[in-house]
Amino acid sequence: MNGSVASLPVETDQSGAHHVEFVMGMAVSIDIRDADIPASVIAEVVSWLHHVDATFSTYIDDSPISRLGRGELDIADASDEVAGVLRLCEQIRVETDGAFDAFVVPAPNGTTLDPSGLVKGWSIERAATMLEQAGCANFCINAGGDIALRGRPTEDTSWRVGIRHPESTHELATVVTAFGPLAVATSATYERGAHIIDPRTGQPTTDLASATVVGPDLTIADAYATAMFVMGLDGLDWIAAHPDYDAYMITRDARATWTPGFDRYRPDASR
Amino acid sequence: MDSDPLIRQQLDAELAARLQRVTARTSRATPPNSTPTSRPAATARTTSPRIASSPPPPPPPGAGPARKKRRHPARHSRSAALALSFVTTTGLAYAFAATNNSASANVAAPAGLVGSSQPVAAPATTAAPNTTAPAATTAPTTAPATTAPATTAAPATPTVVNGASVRNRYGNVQVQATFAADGTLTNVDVLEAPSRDGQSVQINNYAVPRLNSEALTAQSANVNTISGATYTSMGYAQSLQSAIDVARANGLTTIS
Repeated sequence: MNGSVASLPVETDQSGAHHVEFVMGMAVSIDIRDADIPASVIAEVVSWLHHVDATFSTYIDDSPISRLGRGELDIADASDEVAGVLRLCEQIRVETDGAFDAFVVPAPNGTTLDPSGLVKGWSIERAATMLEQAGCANFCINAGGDIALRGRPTEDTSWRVGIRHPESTHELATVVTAFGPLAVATSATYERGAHIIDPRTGQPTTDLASATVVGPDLTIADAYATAMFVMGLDGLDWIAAHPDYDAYMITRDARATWTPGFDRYRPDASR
Repeated sequence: MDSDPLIRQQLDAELAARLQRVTARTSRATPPNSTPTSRPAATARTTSPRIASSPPPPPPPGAGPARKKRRHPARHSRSAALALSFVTTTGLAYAFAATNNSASANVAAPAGLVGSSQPVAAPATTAAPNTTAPAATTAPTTAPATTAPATTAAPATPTVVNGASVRNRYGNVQVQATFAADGTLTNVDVLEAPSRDGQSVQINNYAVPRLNSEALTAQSANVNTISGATYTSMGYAQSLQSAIDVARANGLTTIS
């Protein structure tokens, strides 16, 4: 567990519950719109996120992932949870022809085992299931830009997700509207010094400022967003063959390009 | 995900092999007698984190934003769009040609589509670029346009310009651009796209809409949340998402 946990207080009232937790090196915003949600529901999710961090962090030397990477832990002895996540990573590696690869890019712990590109989405998808099982029907969980949406924010509105403009933290490139349960994941490098390595070449990617993937499942959307970022504009053709998932890409020269299906999330797009 | 035990077995074998390669690489990188200070983990914390155990310290009070120089995105985008509009559409056609080449590896041809020819030929109106229907849903065009002279409409009305027909390995590509009276590019249509076989039809379906890209214009709108990297606490503090969280904590449901 992380000793230096910073978080904003849980606010619960008639309009729902709201909480921001700093975990996994990022801010996780939990926004529940169902009335009278007990604070324990959020506490359970928060505890889950810290468990995921302790298990999968490549910044913790004795996390199971770090030990697996150094060969100190055998996959046969790893928990079902860890083995399950790595199986998913392997499946998506094959599916994306190596554009997503959790097994080759150098990780902070000195190994080349890093499932982070999938774990964030996977953990938030799980958190969303936990909230649903606790009776929540209308909520938004945002983990550093990877978002799981259910229901509606208010009775007569739909969840609206702003896609950040690459050149400005306070402006949007476009808005995605969720007409049902939806996952939105963005892979980007507009923060200083950040980069994403192409696992196929070992070199940093250069084409895109950001790649956003929308679809039903945040585990998949998160991994696909990483793969899309690596594939560049070619990724649009790849993902267009997946009817449930769509992508919106912003190039380094600030142009946006998207799959045909993406427009269904932008009924009010003004151009 | 896999209920088939055989598939699971193969997957696990492949996974074990990959992990073996990981540990082999790791032991090469850090020999057993290496001192703790030489561990890469000690220095790697400054690289871009996807998952980190502890958040970096909050920014000191009064710390400036990460970005010193900020262009006005809206103005930039508008001028970019304008500049682009006067570059001939040939450039777009070339872009499209490159697109098709790169797409070929990923697309399989369903037998049912072989022989059907469906280039996009939406009428040139002032419709938004992205409203063009996917290739498969539009009417077939038979005219094998070769090279394209620019055609100009009456002044003060939208100007329609045909780009040159560009040949790539799948066939000819030609686009038509519509400019508003003030010179703004308002629409791009594909007059001609390769469709000699099923594979090309498939490629068209996916690749043609790629021409419907846009120069970004910054938008502000009522939103509930923001997608885009806020990987660090520092990034979060400066993000629109943090503003939304503060607003939400104060009982507001959306911000604008």
